[in-house]
Amino acid sequence: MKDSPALAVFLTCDQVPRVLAASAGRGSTWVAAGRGEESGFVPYRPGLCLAREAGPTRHTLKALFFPRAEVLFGYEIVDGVPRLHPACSPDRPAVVFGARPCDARALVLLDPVFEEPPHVDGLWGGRRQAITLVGMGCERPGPACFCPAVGGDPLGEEGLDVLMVPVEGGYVVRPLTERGRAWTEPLELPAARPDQEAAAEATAARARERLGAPPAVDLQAALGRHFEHPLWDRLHERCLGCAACTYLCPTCHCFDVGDEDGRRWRRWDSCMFPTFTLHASGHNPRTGGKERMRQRLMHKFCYYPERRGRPACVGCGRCVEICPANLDLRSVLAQLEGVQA
Amino acid sequence: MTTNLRETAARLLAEGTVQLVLGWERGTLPLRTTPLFAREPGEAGRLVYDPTCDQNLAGYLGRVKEERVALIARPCEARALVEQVRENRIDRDRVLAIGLPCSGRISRSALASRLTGRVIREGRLAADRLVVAGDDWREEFPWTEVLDPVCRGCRLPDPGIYWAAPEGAVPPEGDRFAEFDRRRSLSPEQRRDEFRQAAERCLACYACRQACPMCSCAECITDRTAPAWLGPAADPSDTMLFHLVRAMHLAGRCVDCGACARACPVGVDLRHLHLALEREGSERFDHCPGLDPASRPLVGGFRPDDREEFIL
Repeated sequence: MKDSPALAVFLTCDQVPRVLAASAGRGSTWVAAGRGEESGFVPYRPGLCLAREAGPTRHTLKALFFPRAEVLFGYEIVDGVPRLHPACSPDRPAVVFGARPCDARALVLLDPVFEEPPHVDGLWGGRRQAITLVGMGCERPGPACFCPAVGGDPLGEEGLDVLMVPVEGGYVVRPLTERGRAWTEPLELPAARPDQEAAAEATAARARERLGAPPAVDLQAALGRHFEHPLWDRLHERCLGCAACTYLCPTCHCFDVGDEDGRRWRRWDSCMFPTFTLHASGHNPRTGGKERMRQRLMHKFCYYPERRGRPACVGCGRCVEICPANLDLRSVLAQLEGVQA
Repeated sequence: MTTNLRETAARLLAEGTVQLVLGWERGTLPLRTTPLFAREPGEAGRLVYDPTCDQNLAGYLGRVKEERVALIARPCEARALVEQVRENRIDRDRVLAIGLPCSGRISRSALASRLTGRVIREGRLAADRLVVAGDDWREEFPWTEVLDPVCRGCRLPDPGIYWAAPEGAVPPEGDRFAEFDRRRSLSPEQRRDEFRQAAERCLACYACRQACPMCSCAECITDRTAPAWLGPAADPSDTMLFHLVRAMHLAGRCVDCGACARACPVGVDLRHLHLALEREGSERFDHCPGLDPASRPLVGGFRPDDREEFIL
């Protein structure tokens, strides 16, 4: 998808409403909006309060492609013969504006999970194909952010079609793909001046400095060695066993499937719940909170990297922010890394 | 106060009076604390106590294995402990409640509103002032401006379960029923709509249930699979059912510590459901949860003089 870089343009803060209105006129446009615990991605409407402060929105981008609950198909039995009805998919966005680089990267990490043959989901892929992602670079990463530690960047381009870099008075807007160009060009924005480009570089440098360099640790190997380590008995103690961290994680993607009234649903599920691994026999291979929390971390930082070469975490810090017990993933991992044999 | 607390905790551990002290230590984000499970006298030095201690630690009592446990207890923890003892979930002699005077706690969600969503880089308490700073701003105000609404008009009568009773507590003035009374003034349709909107926002992550010191069921109704009480569609009516069932299970037991509302990652506060039952219990049956370990349960108890005019 990615090809020769297009010219960056400049968008002033004042022009944002006009640009959004223009985008919404061309196709359903969703924006990162709202504050704090209610912030998330919603359909654009004039006067909406855009999320511009540091860090990602509380609700994730994944929910647009993998909703909390959705119908997979309907069914009925007519004269003893089962008939299937395809699900009617609700309206989905054509453009998402204001996604953070970590949000976009999370989608890239989930693409193979849903779409790699032979098990092609279709629903995820269909929505992904239709989307133009206009990203908002992070000028001031929040205190919970840690994207460089998992291979990300506050101004990362992976998965985005356009990257907006905040600078004084506006944004340097960089189309990154053909689709990104198709979104940017009709806006007829002026080319970014060299001083604006330089300001964008400075934004990136400041954001990177704030986040610091990634630790030089092979976390995957450390986790693989320490599966049975007694430290786990202590690490999980504070964990309450709720699913706040998994449901609001941009890369957690486990689901359950159930039937109701002639429809087959899939709904988010969480490895933090005892029922997640409950067998029909009544046996449960993950007996307690320790096993469940360990699974969550091992999946993200050991099993997924074994298959895909990088962790299933984008360092958005949502789990750090929302954990009622402030059980900070970063310190948990640091303790595991520090374990001697 | 913190120094005393650390010394007491370290001594209890060193002498072997308890094997575990449950308290709070500094968290990893500004103005956050996290539970501390201190097992060595040296670890007691990490204990902190101030209005940023927002979890109810009594919920951990049923999970730890130690023979004797010291619980750093504000009235919220102490009242939850009373209920747990009353229900024979915790052996009273197993827990030493180290009482601490409480003048309320900070509501993170009130603080976020006060700061209109700006990101806090630094925060500290200096006596009764809260000092918070971000990238290019700094503000200082009395922390009681962001007092958790749950703490307003806190019931402080001594639950009589302390090993060391708190001294010098200053109950914040106010009315913790204020929001409840506002809702009561709405029409049933408006109240239903508000409840439904909250249910639509609820992700059913069950942080409220897990943070609650009184949610004690070994298997929650939501975990039942045969039959499954909640459908697969994440329908708001299912979410409403969960919250109503939870409220009914907490009737006469909820100590209104507000842990459920503070734990919610998406800002759903359904405390008013519990307050409705608290008020019912108090007005009709003179029942107050969390004060007397020998009291009878609101729902399970019966007295010949119970009001029963509602029985036709």
